[in-house]
Amino acid sequence: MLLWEIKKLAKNRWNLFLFAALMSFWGIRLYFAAQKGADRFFMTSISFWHLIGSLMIGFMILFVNTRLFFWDEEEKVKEAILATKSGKARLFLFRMLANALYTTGIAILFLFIQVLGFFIFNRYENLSITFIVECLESFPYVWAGSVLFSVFAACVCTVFQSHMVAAVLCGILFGTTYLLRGNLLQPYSLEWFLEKGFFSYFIRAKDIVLDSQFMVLMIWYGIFLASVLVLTITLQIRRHEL
Amino acid sequence: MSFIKLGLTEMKKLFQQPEIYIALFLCTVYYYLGLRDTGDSFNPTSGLWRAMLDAVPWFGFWMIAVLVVIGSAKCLPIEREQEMNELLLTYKKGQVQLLMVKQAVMFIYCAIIVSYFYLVSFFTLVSKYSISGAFNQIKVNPPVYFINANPDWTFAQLLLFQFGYMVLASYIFSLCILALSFFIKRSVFIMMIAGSVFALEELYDKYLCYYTGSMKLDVYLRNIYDYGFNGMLGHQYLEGLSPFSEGEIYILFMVFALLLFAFNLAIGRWRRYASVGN
Repeated sequence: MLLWEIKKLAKNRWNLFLFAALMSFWGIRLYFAAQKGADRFFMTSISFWHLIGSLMIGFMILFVNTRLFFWDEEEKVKEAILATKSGKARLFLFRMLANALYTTGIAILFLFIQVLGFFIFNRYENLSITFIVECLESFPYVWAGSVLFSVFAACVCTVFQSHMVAAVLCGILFGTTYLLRGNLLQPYSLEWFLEKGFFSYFIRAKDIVLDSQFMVLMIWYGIFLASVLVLTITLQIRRHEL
Repeated sequence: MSFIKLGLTEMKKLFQQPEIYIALFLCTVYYYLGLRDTGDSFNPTSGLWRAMLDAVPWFGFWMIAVLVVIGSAKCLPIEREQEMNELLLTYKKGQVQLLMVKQAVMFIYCAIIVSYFYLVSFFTLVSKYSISGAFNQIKVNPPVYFINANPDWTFAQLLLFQFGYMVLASYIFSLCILALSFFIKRSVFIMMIAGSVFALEELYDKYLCYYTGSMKLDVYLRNIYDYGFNGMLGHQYLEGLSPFSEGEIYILFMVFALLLFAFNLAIGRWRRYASVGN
């Protein structure tokens, strides 16, 4: 069942388009950065997750992963799927697992693209080891943030039973901070939560660990995601979908 | 069913979509916070009307764009997603009238969204600035985004001009998204493609241009931004380097809108025949 769900995700046509877009943007950025000296090139290389990487992983989760939770409705097979012999709860669990595993796969592939771009455009010596160490140090946070965001988006899609609503809600919360971030931050204010509390900050490499409110953010993410999961499960039980 | 009655039904259908209200709520929150926290960066001595004139091209147009993208992406595929396509093909007054009504409804929708954000600006900024000065001439304190504007105009006149400009610009954006809807079935993908194009252009303007600044490529990318949807909504057409005067821009936008309107009708007819295999 797990493989079947992952296959459904992998067959989505948006995968290819998004990977191609990511490679083009990353290639262009590194090409120009490489012409402006070693420091600039190194800073650009390690800033992959700050803009292009995190944004693309957000797109991937919203375009591809979240659709898995609306697929049955879209294909008009929801009633048949809910009559599954293996159990509705098991089906939901496997879908969440497939979602998380697929997100892990995407994050690893993105990391590979980041490293590949670095080695293709690198014209400077003595940068490689530092770069690899930086990448490996950042990756656990990127991975955790991506998986948590994919779970959140899946829950929103399940609750509202609409891919469009999930894309709008998660897309705005995830994406607006790229355009509005900067001078709006007062710790623990509403702006602060909107900026840092909706996963895109988590995916921006090591930013979250270096934040002075790291523990508060961890508690917030824990409570927030647990509440969303409880709400989703409760609603599904009420709708006889679990 | 008369044209107006059909229009009202279409309007009701559009405004029943929950996505619009979710986005409206979030955009209002962001817009309010943005204006509340950084509204002081507008010249405090210049009054409410000058601040309102600067607020929309500053970042209000992003919020308008988000709402326009969501509404336009839902407008055409509603029937398709509810599997009403075959039934609609039997509509006795024809698809062209239906399409005309849908495009007219989108114009009203754009006007409502733009008005809404002007109201939010008004109610947010009214506590910070003096309400007087609406009929002062703009040459006393010219707004940043209207370099070519006639200095004898009053703030009220310029605000009215900007409102019309924003409605027309957002309507052109909306018509382009409607054109996209003829080729993509699902509203969510229409929304995400149109939204991504807009967001990527903004990201280019904010971050990527620093990397392409030294290359000839940047000239083309800059022109795409300035004369694309982002530049249109972000008032780039009104800035110093623009070859158009205020009146010319209105005519230009109206011509754009009419051409797109006719283009969508033609595509709509063609796609209808394609969909029934004729």
